[in-house]
Formats: sequence, structure tokens, C-alpha cells
Amino acid sequence: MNNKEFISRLAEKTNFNKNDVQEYVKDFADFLGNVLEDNDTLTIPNFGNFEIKKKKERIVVNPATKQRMLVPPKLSLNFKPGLALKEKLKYHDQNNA
Amino acid sequence: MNNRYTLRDLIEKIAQASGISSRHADAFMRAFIETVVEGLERENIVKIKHVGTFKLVTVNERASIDVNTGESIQIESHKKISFTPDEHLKEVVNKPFALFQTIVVEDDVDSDALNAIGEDETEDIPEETNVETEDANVEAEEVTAATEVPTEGTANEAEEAIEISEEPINTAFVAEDSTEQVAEEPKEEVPTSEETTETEEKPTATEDIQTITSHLKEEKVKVVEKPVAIASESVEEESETTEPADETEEKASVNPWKIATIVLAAILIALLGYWAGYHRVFLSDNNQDTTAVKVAETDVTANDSVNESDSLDSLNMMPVVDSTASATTKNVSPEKKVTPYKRPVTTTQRSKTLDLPVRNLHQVQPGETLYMIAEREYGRKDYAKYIIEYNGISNPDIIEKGSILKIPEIVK
Repeated sequence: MNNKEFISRLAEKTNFNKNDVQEYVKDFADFLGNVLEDNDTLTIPNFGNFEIKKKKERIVVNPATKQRMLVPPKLSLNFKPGLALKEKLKYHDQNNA
Repeated sequence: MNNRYTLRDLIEKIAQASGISSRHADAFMRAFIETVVEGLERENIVKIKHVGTFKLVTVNERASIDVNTGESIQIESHKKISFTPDEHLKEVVNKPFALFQTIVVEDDVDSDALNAIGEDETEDIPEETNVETEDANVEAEEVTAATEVPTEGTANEAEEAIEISEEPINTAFVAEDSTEQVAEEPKEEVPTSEETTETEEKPTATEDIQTITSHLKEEKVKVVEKPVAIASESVEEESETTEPADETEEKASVNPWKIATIVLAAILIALLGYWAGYHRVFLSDNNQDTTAVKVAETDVTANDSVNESDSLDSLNMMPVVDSTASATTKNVSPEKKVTPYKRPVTTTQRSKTLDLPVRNLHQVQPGETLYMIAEREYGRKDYAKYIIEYNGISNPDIIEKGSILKIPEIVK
């Protein structure tokens, strides 16, 4: 399901205008990006948690050139599905649906 | 930090940003989740612009061991949900650390050069380096005070190392100086002076530094009048070529003046740096409490990375020449650097809430929580603890509607 299908499906469900729906989705992304800081979590019941985790810096070696590089620390956004959703989709087979 | 947001917070935020009622925002979020799950069920993948991609990934079956019984068990093949954030969203999330870049660590770079790189990274926060230099400076001074000519070589070295980490121009100046020194005894020293001029022509700062430190070592060796074998080959060669005793006397008579000028220059620079650093700390303390915390945090990580690479490097190719210089800088670096930041933070955090003046009064409305009040009053939910403390609320989960809360003026 690509963005276009997703938006139209969502618009259908909520009876909102497609453009508006796209706007709201963007607001959601803004929340994830700008409100959440390091170690913050957003918990959505029956869905899962969005959380920001700090990844430490590390040294990697390019196997071809043996060049060592220091990769800086970074913040990353993770999604951890909730138990209900996980179980629901664990043995899900799309052909049966 | 460590905030937990709920769907309710999210809905409020969306309603605020897009100007729809929170009921509509609520309906929207529910439909959003429903649609994502539906899409996963139907097509295993949902791509959402600005947000990212949800995917259902198949995990192959694999053998494992039951941790309780020790029996080997088979984990069935199953599906799991993966989420990859949109590129732009990734960048936004990583914004606080966006200034960092991947650095290539070369095998022949010594720790001083790495220090220089580390400081480039944290350019906007110069206090750290200044404090470092100051401390090291004091240390070096102590050394000179305690002992006489022979140890001055080491003190000088320490100074040198600090200067190097501070600014490259300075080291260039010192380099010239030391070559001058050597040039004053041209007859015996012909091979070494040639070498220094050669190395001076080399472009990178690190190589200059190395020659300087090796020079210092050499001088030290002579002054002590023991041709101690030091790991670096070049030093050994040079000390061999310049054995005789009368030379050392000559050197000893010339050196103190030069050394004194170098030491003076270093102290001046360190003081200037410290002064500038102090002013910055003062300003940031006044203005932005929270950003100071953030800066401190990134700072610490930067330090970490530098230190880590530092030690790694020292493991790999540290010749003895470097070890004294880098050791002195290391002694100072990890703990002391951080302290000036922590001080302002802790003083503000350890609140004497009860002494604060009352800013206004707030009558609790039905359905309101302390978090909501704190967010409205201060813009931050975690400041609810001040209200709780200030009003002596024993159970923050229950507040009477219609009761009047005193909202303290929070002074930064």
C-alpha cells in the first residue's frame, strides 16, 4: 500500500478531504520529529511505541580497504509494536485475508 | 528527556497544529492506526509520506535453547513488523547530533592530531579546551616550581602538547623557535638542524608536532647527561651524534631564556582562553538553562569519542615520545572538563521551591490534571513536580476540582 492508497483510504474512513488528511499525517510526523527528544516515548494503545534512542559512536572498518572510520553518535526513531498487534500479525498469512 | 507521551498528547498536538477539534483529531488517529494495520494485513507494506514505511517481514525458523530447561527448541517461522522512518524525519530526529561527521581514522595519526579533530567537532563549545589548558598549565607550573633545569624539559613538553591542541598557529611559532635554538649551535648540530628544516616544510601540523616533541626529548636527554635509549629512532640517532659533554653546558646556558619565553607565551594564551570561556559559561547560564544541559550532554559524548579514539590510537602506535605529552593531556581531560557545565545545571535543579514567590493562582477545573496545568503554566509537563511540592500535595493523582493551587514563579 503506497502513500496515495493510504491517504485515500484514510480520507474515506474519516470523511476528511484528502489534502487535509495529508496535512494531518504531516502533523503526526512533526510530532515524532520535533516533540520527541532523546529517550522520549509516544505510546499508542493497540498499536505500539515510538521512541527515540541514542546510538553510541563506534568504529567501523571497511573490509575492502581496511580503512577505519569513527561513526558519530546519533539519535534514531524506533517503532516497537505492541503485544496485541505483534500477536495478531505473527502468523498472519496475507493469502487468507 | 524521558517524557512519556500518550495518544492524548498526540491528539491535542495535532488538533492544535491543524486547527481541528480534538474529537476529529482523535477519529483521525484511530483511523490512521486502523489503516496501517489493515494495509499490513493486506499487502505487508504501508508507505506513508513524511512518516516512513511499515513492513511485515518474515523471520525464518531457527533453533534456540530454552533458557530455563536447557533444551533445544525450534522457533517457528513468523512475521514481525519493521518500521523505517522517512529520510527527512530521520534527519529531523537526529538534528541535535547533525554536526557530527564520520571521520576516517588513519593508522599513522597520533593522538594529538585526533585531539585537534575532536575540537573541530565541538567548535561552538570552546570552554572545555580552555579549562583543560588551564588545568594542565597549573600542573606544568607546579612541575617547574618544584624542580630545576632537567625537568623543565618535561614541563615544557606538557605545555607544548596543550598549545598544540589549542591552535596550530602557535605550534608553528614554537617550531620556529626551537629551530632557532638548534641553529645557534650550528657546528655540532648540522645534521639535526637540517632535519628540522626539512620537517618544517611538510604540510601537516602533526608532523611538526612530532618533530618538536622529539626535539624536546633530545634536549632533555642532553641536559640530564644520560643518553637514555628512547623508543623513537630519530631521537636515538640524534643523541648519538651529539654526545660530548661541553655541548650540553652550552645548551644549558642558552635554553632557560628560550624556555622561559615559551612558558610565558603559553600561560598568556591559556589565561586569555579561560577568560573567554568563563564569559561564555556565564552567558549560557543566564539565558538558556535547558540548552546548556543539551550542550553539556553532546559535549560529554564528544569528549567520550575523542577519548575513546585517543586510547585506541595510543594502543596502536604510541611511540614513547608521545606518551608523556598525551599522558599529561589525558590526565586532565575526562573528569575535569565536564565539571563547569554541571555546576549551573545542578544549582538550578536542586530547587528551593518553597522559597519561590507566587506567580498566580489557579482554580482546578473538572478533568484537569497537574500535568496539564504545568504544561499550560510553564510549557513543560515535568514541572508539575514544582507545583506538587509548592502546594504540599501528598497524592498528585488526586486533586479536588475547584480547589485553588498556588503556581510558583520558577526562577532559572
